[in-house]
Formats: sequence, structure tokens, C-alpha cells
Amino acid sequence: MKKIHKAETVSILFQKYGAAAVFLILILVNAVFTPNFVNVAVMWNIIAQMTPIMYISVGMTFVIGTSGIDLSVGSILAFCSIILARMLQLGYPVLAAVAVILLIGAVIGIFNGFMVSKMGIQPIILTIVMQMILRGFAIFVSKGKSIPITNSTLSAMGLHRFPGGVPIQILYVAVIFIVGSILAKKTALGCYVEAIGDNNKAAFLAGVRIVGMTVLIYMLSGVMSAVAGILEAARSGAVDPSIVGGLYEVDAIAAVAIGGTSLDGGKPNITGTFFGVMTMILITMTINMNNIPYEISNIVKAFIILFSLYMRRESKA
Amino acid sequence: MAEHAVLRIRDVSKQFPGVKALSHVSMEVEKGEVRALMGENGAGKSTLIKILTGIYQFEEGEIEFDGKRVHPKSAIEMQRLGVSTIYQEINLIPYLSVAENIYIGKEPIKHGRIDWEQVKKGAEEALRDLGISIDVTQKINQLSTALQQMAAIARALQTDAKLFIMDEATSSLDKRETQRLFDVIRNLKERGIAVIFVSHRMDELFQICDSVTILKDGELAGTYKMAEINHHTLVSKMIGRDAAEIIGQRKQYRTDWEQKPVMCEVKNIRKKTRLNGVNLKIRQGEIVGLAGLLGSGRTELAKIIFGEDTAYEGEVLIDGEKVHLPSVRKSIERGIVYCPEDRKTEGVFLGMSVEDNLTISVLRSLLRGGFVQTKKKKAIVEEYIQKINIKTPSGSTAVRSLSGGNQQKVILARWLAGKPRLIILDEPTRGIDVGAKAEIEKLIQQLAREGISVLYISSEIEELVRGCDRIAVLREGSVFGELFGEEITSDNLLHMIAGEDTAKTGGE
Repeated sequence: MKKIHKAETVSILFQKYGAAAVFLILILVNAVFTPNFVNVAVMWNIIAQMTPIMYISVGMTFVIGTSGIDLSVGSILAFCSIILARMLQLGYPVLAAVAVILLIGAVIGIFNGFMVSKMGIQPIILTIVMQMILRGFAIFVSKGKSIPITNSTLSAMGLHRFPGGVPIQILYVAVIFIVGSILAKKTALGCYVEAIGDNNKAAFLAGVRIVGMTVLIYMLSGVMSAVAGILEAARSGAVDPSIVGGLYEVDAIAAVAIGGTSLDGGKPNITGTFFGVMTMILITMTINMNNIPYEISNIVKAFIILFSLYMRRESKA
Repeated sequence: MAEHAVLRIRDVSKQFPGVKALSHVSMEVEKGEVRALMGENGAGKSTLIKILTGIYQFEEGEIEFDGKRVHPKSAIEMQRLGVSTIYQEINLIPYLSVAENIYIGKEPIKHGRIDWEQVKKGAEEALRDLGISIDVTQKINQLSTALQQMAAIARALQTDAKLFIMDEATSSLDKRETQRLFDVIRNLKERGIAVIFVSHRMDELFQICDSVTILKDGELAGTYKMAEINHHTLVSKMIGRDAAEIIGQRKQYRTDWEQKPVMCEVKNIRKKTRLNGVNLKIRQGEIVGLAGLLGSGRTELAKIIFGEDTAYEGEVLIDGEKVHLPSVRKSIERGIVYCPEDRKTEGVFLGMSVEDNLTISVLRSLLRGGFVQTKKKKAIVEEYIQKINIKTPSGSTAVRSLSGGNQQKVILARWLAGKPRLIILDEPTRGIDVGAKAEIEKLIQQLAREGISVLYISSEIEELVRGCDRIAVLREGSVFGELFGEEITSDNLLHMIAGEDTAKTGGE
């Protein structure tokens, strides 16, 4: 019995601080073993690189909180960034292009949310289908070729550095962290998300707008993916429709899982997700800088997801 | 006497981190004895049962089973020794047949193959011994809970069970099924098999048990012959005097609601196979009981009034106006709320805090500029924790760790915070210990005095008789009759539920 208690405490601690702990451990391990790791330039690169995943993960945190999942995020990103690149190529102003793709992201998200909550389609099936469709559209629109980004305004949004080499992305990260945290903690949204994820039927009977809330949450995820598309395009010289945003959903889900938001639904933990994203990027960097093949990093990430699920399982028993 | 004891517990104690769950408890159960085990939630009942079934290990004292000293390390060990547990939920294999379930793990072998003839015959025999004849080739999940329990008992008898522990085994059975289980228990008794019987339903204990062991706060409060103790003493041993008085009291019939306007009326409600023409009026501040057997349409009617079920014919009128396009949200806005029968799957959010559970339905009224006003929220939570005495370490505690009674109070508080006008309670005291039950019954009376209407669904006759101003009895999907004022007695109600038209029939 005592043993069970101990295991319980461990897993509760893991949920609360696991992400931060893993993050710190990774930093320590790297500081010791990875040459040139304690390097400010590398750190800024990490932040610039993680920003799109950060946005996607914030949306994903809410989706997973409702006990749903959104596997279409990477493809929404791809579709949106291709449309953005194409519109700029055709000479539309940046603002108009940005507005259009935010709208596209929102519409896709609304569609996802509607199908899940009103039509009762399993989110995992629906969004994997959407993943294929949208990736297909992205490739179709661009005829399979990557589109160069030549617009200087957009590039400035992604490549500008403040004095000391601080990337502009630090602002974007700060904004989404603050907005996400406020949404989760200060508005009614966090509570409704948790209620829907915890017990959908009870939430319905308590008068929560299940359909409205679910649509809103998937819309948020769609918009976040569209924003990630903008950020991705802004950082790159060109967007390749079959590569951009690929497997970002895995990174995002892993980040959310490490961050302590239950994959069965529950309280959306934005701080946890933040550290989760940092961890995912760190893993990639560690592996790259130690000359371990890139493919290995996905295997490591997959194990981290499994491990998080395992810890979670124990706390329920 | 000691010669015949199948179970002896001496001075058993069990410690959990920070709590002494059991402290020097002793009891003896004889062969063929039916012993009730009573106590409020947290009194140590389930700890004791878990020790007896080998799930928990005890630290002090000794247990003797069937003449041998035992110190079980696992549940399987106790099962092998002959302790079998029958729960409210049955752990049989749903997709196997009755016979297969009864013989699972010890199938008779003939010529190297399972002798299915023997399995079938043996299973039929085992059930016939219990006074039950059913087709043993049907799948377990096609049987009612009651029959599944019988099958579980038959299976245990195949392994020479000497002691049955029935933990709230009757809580999902209706009256008739319960009687059937009691027949089986009497049958076990004749064979010299002992039963430890746990139930929140007091009248059942007096019907079936020979003796009762009462636990209070982890200590033994006494063991009595059933014949030597009455209802009232039993309750006061368990919970102390004050709460006992509430349970023992019969309500004073109020008449003040008679002049009040009709708040809710249902007219000729029909729903395929379930309801065929229900008429019912609920006045402001009135407590209307809704009685009837399981399947008589009680819950269906409740869900229609609440707006959850929208596929029905007929009319629901609120304040004399017909409800168009009913919905749960509309009902809640009108002040019609529903405490579901199945608390865990339809009521509470187990992983969420007491605070969030309590305020979820009024959250929108706590918003200012899109933000939740935390201070106001906490104030509401504090108010209701105080007002209806929710026992929780703090507002941020997860509802999962609260007792059933307190979970129910959280749901009640959730609705009360929204100032309802009609509360529909579906089995509000099911699976709740007697102390919390008393508090909830008292609260319902108080709400009615404040002018809130109550539709009170319950299978517990005594509870309805104690608490209602009027009782409508549903039978086969329509109101069979109503009882008012002095007509409300257990006898009248029982007769009416059973379908004998001895009392005046109402319901037009």
C-alpha cells in the first residue's frame, strides 16, 4: 500500500514539474557532454526554431484538454504557408495575405470541431484525413515545387535580430505564452475545456455548450497552425509543400504530454507545454550537435510520449 | 459457539499514512450466519473487507479462517481459501455463456477435451440448487445484474466458498430482485455458508441478517443480534444521536404549497415503449415523489422535463407555457435542474476540483470583461461548502477523493448556486452513507420551504414516505396513482407500486 502511495506521489510530481525537470536535466547533460553547448547563439537559434511549434502546441494543449487530438496541424501549417507564399508571389500585400490565411486556418478548425462534436467523428480519424487532404492541397496549389519568399516585410518578421543577436521570435513566444496562460487560467475557457475532457456527458448536463466550445477549441488550433505557417515562412527563404511542418503534430503532442496535460483530457497546462516544447527542441539539438542521425530524434521523441503516457497511467490506478 | 466459527478476527489494526483506518477490531462469524457490517463511509468497513479479501495486509492482530491462521498476501490466496466477494458490479466475462463462466478455469475434461455436456448440466444444476432455472447457454451480459450475481455466486460455490462477502450487492437491484437474492442467501445459510452483508439499506439488514457488527471511526462499536437491536439504536450507534433523529423523523406535512401556482406540468407525455401518456403537476415549493419499479419510466420522464431527451410526444409546460424546442441549457436558464442517478458518469467531474465542479454552471455569471472573478468564485464556493456542509479539505481538492455523499452535495451546490426553481433528484441518496443521507434529506425539506419545487425519484420507499408532499406512482409508463398527505404510508405506496389499486387513483 505504501508503495502505491509513493508511486502516486511520483507521478503527480511528474505531471506538475516533469517538463521543467526533463528540460533542466537535458541542459545539464548537454552542458557536460555536448561540445560548444553553452553558447548563447545556439540558445537563440533554439528559440527562433521552436516558435512555430510553440504556437501549434498551445492550440494542441486545449484540444487535448478536451480529450481530443489534432493531427492536421502540420498540414494546416503547410497549406497556409504555401497560400501565403503564393499570394505574395502574385503581389498581394502582406497584411491581406496574412488575414486570408488566418481565416483559412480558422475555417479548417471550425470544420474539424464541427465534425468532431456535432457529427461525432473520432478526432484522431478526422484529423488524420484532414492531414492528408491539406498536405495534398498544399502540393497541388504549388504544383509540388517550393515557393521562394521574397517579400522583405515578411522576412523581417522572421529574421530580425535585436542587439546581442536576440531573435525577434522571443517576442512571439512571450506573446503566445502570456495569451495561452491567460486563456487557460483566467477565462472560463480553461474550466470548460477541462470539464469537456473530464466528463463530456456531465459537462453537457451541467449546461456547458459542448459543440460551441469544441468548435472554438479546434478553431483555435487551426488559427495557431496558420500563425505557425506565417512564422515558418518568415524564417525561411522558401517553403516546400511536401516538407514544411512535417511531423510537427508529433512534436506538439509530445510537448503537451511531457507538459502534464493528460492525453485523456483534463486541465490545459500551458506552462508545462512551454517547457515541453523547449525539451523537444533540445532533444533535436542535442542529437544534431552530437552527430547522431536526425532520424534517431524522432525515436527518442516517441519514447518520451510513451513514457509520459505510462506515468499518467499510474496516477489513475 | 466458537467451534462453529468460520471466521475469527482478533485485534486487527491497519494503518495508512497519517490515518489509523482500523484499530483493534475483533469479530467472529459462524457457519451459516448472515452478518451485517455497518458503518458510515470512512468507518473502516471497506478497509476491513479489503483485508478479508486479501487486497490489504493488516499490521496487528490475527485472522483465523476455517480453523487456520491466515495472513493473506493477495486476493487470489483468499479466494483459494474460500472467501468470495460479490460486488455491485459483477466481474464475470461478459461474452461467455453462463455455463462457461460458472466453470471457467476448472472445465471438466473427457477424452482430452472439455466436456461441454457436463459443463452445461453442472451449471444448470448449480443454479437450480440456488432456486434459479435459466438458459445457461445465453451470454452473461444478456442477464440482469441480479442474475449475473447469482451466476457469480454459483461459480464461487463450485470452488467451495465458505464465506461470501456481499458489498452493496443490492444497490442496483429492484425490490423483487433483492428478494430473489435473499432467497439465495437463505439457501447458502442452510448449507452452512456464512455471509458478510454490506448495504446502506437498513430495512434489508433487518430482513436478512442474523446479527450486525457496527464500526465507527475505525473502531468496533459493537456486535448485536438483529433481534436485540432496533433501527434507531443501530443508526445512532453508527452516526451519533443528532443525525439519527433526522432519519427517524417523519416529516410534518405542509399544506402551504397547495395554494401556490403550478410551476411545471407535463401533459400526456409519450415516448416509444417507455412512456405512454404521463400527466403530472408540480406546484411551487412542493415535493413530489416519483415512485415505481426500475424501468417504469421514472428516469425517462425526468430527462424529458430537464430537456435532455427531446424525442417525445406530448407537452411540458413551465409556468403554464408550453416548452418549444427543449434543451438542457434552456431548462437550466429557466431554473430547472437535474441531479442524475449516475453521479459518477453524468454528474461530477472526478478529476476537477470542488471549486470548478461547483461553479461550472454559474461560471458565465462570474465573468467580467471575459475574465473569471476569482474572489467572487471563491466566495460562492465557501458559501456552499458551509451551507450544505460539504466535507472537503479545501476548495481545490479533486472531487475524486470525496465520499459519495459529498460528491452528491457538490452537485446539489452546483445547482443551488444558480438559484433553481425546480430540482429533479434522481436517486439522490443511492450509495450514500446514512449521515450524509440525513443531511441531504434535511436540505431538500429546507429548499421546499424556500419555495423551490422538487421532483424526487427514489427506489427507497421509506425515503419517499418521509420526505414527500405527494407521491406519483409510475407503472408501465403512466401514472398509476397518486398519494396525498395522510395517505402517504409505506404500505399504501408498496401496494400501489405492486399494482394493487387500494388507494385512491389520481393522475386523471
